[in-house]
Amino acid sequence: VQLTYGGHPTWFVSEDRFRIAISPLLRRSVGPWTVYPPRRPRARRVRADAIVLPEGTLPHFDLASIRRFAPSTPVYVGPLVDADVIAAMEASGFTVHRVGWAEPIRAGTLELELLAAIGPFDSLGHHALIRSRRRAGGSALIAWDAYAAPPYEQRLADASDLRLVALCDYATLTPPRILGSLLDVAELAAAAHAASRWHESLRTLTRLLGQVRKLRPALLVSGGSLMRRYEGLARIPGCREWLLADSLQALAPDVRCHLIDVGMSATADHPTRLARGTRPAILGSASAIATYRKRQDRFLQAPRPVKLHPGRLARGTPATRERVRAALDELIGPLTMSSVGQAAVSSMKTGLDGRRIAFSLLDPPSPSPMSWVLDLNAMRFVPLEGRRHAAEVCPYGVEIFLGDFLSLLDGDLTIESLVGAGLRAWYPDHPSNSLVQFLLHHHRCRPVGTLWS
Amino acid sequence: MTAPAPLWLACLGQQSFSVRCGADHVLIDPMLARSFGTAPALQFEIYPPRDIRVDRMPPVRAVILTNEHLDHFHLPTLTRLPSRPDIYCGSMMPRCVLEVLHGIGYRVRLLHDNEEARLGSLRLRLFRGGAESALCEQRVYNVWISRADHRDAVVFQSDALVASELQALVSSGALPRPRCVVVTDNSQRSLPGARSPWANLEVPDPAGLVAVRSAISAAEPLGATDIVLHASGYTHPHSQHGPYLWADHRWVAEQLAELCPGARVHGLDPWEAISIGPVPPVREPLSWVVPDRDRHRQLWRQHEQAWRRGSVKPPASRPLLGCFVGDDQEARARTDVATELERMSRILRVAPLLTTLSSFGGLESQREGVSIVVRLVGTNGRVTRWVYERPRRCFVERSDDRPRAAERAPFGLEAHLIDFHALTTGDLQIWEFVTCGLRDHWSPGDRTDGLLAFLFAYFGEQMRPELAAKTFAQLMQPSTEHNTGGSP
Repeated sequence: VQLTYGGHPTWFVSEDRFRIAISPLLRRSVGPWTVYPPRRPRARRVRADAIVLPEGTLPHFDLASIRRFAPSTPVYVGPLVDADVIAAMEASGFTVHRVGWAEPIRAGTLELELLAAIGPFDSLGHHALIRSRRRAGGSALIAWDAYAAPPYEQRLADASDLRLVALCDYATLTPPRILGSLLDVAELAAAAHAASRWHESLRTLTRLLGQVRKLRPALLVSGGSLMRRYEGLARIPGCREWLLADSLQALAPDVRCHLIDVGMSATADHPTRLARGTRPAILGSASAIATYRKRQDRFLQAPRPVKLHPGRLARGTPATRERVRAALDELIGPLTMSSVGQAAVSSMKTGLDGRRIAFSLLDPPSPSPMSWVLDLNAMRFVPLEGRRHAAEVCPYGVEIFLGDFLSLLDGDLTIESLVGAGLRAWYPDHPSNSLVQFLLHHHRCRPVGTLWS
Repeated sequence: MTAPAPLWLACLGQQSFSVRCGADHVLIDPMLARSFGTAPALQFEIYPPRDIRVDRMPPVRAVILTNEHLDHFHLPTLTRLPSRPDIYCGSMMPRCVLEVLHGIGYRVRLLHDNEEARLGSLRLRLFRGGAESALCEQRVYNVWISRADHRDAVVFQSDALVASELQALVSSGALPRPRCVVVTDNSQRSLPGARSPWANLEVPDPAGLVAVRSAISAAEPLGATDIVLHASGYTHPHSQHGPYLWADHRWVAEQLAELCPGARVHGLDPWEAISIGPVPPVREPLSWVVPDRDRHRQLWRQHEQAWRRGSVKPPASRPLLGCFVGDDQEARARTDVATELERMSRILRVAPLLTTLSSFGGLESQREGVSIVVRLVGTNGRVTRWVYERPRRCFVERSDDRPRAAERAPFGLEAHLIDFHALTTGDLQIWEFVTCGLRDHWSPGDRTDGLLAFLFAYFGEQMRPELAAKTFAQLMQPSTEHNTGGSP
């Protein structure tokens, strides 16, 4: 079984002439993001015997990338992928099969199972366990920043022929100073949270290491992230995969740890011998990667404040306000019952009312934003009067351009296109319990029409 | 120099307390009736049974409300208090509660966490309970009451864990160690066969008093010398065994004495008070609380007989609120329930219930990603199943008549359609529905973040003020006058 890295979450698994594409993200940029590491498909059309999508959101699901495959290629999706995502692929002529956890997916001589896993901050994640049906031995695991969930720990421990473990999709391993410079409202706290995010990912990977260490597989460490379009930060990757590889090697000296670049392959028979695959579906460039890394180093030596720009301008007319207000009203119930709503109740930064969660809408050239604050006691959004910034009143909040917010409502932008690129957030605890995380969850439930295509 | 007047603590029943120091008398979550509940046909009788003579009760300087749940916030009592003392509560009290209190003439004072209020010779502070408290208890406050010099303090845990801020203040010495902690025993242990809302809390060793002991552990960091047990202080309306297993807190306290060598454990009857001070506590009868000894004997006989048998016959499953009149009414109820479930599905998309680890349970074999099953029993026993399909993020009505045993979803409940419908219209309160109306439910993991905790929060006063308003109106109707009990 051969694993070829395709950049960010993407892997190609092949044996002889059979090939499975997993989470194919083949475009150089997606919406406002640039994909790191830089790479390009060898040809416009990409061939595979099956496509596997463990998850139905970016970066795992990108409809434009799926369309590069022949519509006759069967697509297998994990048990939690949205029905809307499936419908979008079917509308493009693909046949989509939903599979349960640990249900075998077969393509030629290859067999793959998706297993539930646990990511940083106890988020849901997934693994793919791959083996050959033709011959015994030599299985491989792809872990998207997650360790095995309790029901599947034993399954991993029983995989005595596990030779390769590929680690990827820890794009949010952002160096603290970058994240810190983004959140000027609570810079110090944000820097600490970024550090805790790094710590969480390390913790996750360490647990995974503990689960597979006895089997002595080789670790393949890849680097992948979506680069943000900030002024001052554009085209600087948010991950430092070589640091991660060093850390893991130090943690587990008995396990061989390798950095793997786009287009490089490893086989279960020779897990430590990385080679450029024969006719890989996707090509990388070592020199381009080196340039990006240098750029990141330079930035970290002298970080600069970043500046956000709206995607479009909008005027804060009464009708616009009413529309925003109606949209916020729809969020009251979900927000209150979400983990953010629950944590907001606990927050000590409090007045004698229930105002805890703020949406600040920037309306340039007006210097002061329109701010609405959710009063958890009265269960309604109330406008924030006075000159105080919403962050002085509420422990949780988000600042976003009015134009971008309206684009969200119109379906012209997805929340993924704004998070990290066009909004700021503040939160007293870790980022998994922030309005950003809530908005990601909530807006992912919107119809697939809002996905880039 | 004369010794200061002693501080007297009384547990008036279920979660209701009196604290008195000289002429200063405060009530906490007062429930002075014989029973509580919104519907006359569904009353939870306070155990041990007693009559509270409100006319003989010392004048009340203040009322403290720790939360708005049915077994703490008793509107009939507040309506009939002879005076309108100030009410103190935490800043996260839902607006709908404040409005109803203003409506009946009370002035409400909201307190920040750790803000001190002077109640004559007493000092009051409120602390929002520990962050790890159950989802539905996140807005519950711990109460700190002491003398003016902060000595002889009593802490009431209420239903929440002890606040970390309170623990920090005590361990840093900013507040002295409380003399007494009143801990909540929510074990509510029934006999096999009896319906229990907390199926996940079945304690393997009924003689081990594990649940009560763990309740006490939660208070240990405060280092109090005296611990008072309370709660489990009502009888289930459909109980076939009278009070709960450990409802006799005097007896439980005696059993626990050896397990808690660092503190004295007390169980109080409602008609007695205990002194809190530097000398060992003494008990004193309360002249204004009269035990109903006949009813007590009757309930205890039932309790002992049932426990000797070791189990009870499962009660017949009947709807709590009667039957539908005609097919049209039932059809309308189905439509209403479908609308409610659509509303609920918008919340479930982001609720921790389905975004945390517990949702792994049962998913191994779920190709369709069915996470929750709501089974509602209509007329003639017909079951309608609504399943929450995670990939579609909505409830879908299924026409197949799959039996309960064949359900594979990690979360689920079964109830009578008429009861669930009443819950969605405010005719039945969530606490009553969970305690009496559930035929069955299942949920992986801890009860504090399971399906029932979600339902408590979803149908609770904060999320559904319109339902709460209906319940409040019902509680204040003259027809529920029996609910106030006691003597005028």
